[in-house]
Amino acid sequence: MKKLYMILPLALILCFMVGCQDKEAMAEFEEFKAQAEVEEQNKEIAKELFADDFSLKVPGFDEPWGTDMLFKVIQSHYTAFPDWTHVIEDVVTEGEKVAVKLNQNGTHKAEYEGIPATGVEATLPAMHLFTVKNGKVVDWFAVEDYLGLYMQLGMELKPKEGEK
Amino acid sequence: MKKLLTIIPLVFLLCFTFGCQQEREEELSIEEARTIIDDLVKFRNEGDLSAADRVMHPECVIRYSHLPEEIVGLEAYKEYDKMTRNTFPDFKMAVDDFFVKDNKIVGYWSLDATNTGPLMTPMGELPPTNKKIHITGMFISYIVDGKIKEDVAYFDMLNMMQQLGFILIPPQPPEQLEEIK
Repeated sequence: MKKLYMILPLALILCFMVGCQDKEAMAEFEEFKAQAEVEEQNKEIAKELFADDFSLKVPGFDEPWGTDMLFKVIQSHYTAFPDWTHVIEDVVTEGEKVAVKLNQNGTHKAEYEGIPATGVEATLPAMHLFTVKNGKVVDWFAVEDYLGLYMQLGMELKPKEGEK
Repeated sequence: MKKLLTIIPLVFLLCFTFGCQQEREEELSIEEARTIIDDLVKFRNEGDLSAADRVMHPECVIRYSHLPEEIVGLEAYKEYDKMTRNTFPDFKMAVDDFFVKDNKIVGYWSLDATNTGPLMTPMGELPPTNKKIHITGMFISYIVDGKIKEDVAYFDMLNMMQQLGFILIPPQPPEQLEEIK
């Protein structure tokens, strides 16, 4: 009987772990890794997290972005905001989808999109939706409040000339 | 030993059901989520206040990335909805896709509207532009007691303002403005 008492808690722990481990948790883990690695600009490791045929359609660009273009853009962002951080507020996973609700912030220390350094501590709330297949990111849809960011850096909205 | 062998599989079964039961109980079903979404769309597209009362928690908190502050409480949200319809009388939104996890709904939405009413901008109230907009975005809703307690939505506001005929320009120093005059 003594042996039984010893085994029961072990069995309990084992089942709990085995029973609830699911693909979603893996997707979530991959997502955290992706964010952390991109943040540390560790290109080699971060690139491995993206599928070889990863392709991102970006409004305003005719050609979709592959990982090279994507990383170039991220790099220029970090040049302008060297202390850029991601604060992950929530992660919701289901099947292959990983939705991340986050806030980003950093100091504008170098030229960004033609705007000379302002020293402003900017914030950029965002929502990112990743599709993860076989542990790699195959799609990334990001919605970020860039208008808010540009206005924090001093840009202004004006109606186009000659249009009323 | 025999008793041990018979008990272990039973223990396994028990833990498995117990361990994962909690997760399943709290999860919103797809049907419940669909009903919530249908009521929300009815409220925003038609101004249907009974749909609003059904779907929104009285103490709901709405966080839209284009607004400087959160909207707190259903009455405030109804006011915001009225203002939106004033600016865009033919406001039509749709939820194009969504998924459910625990008490959260995550989805894509799109919106078509024509700006025929006064337009609220960071520069104050402006006359209508009479331009059409088509925007897409994402949302995450937190459900409590079958109602939306918290709603957070993100969309490309810059793209929307550009569709309305606005451009971003660097700040004009006061001296330059004097010269132009």
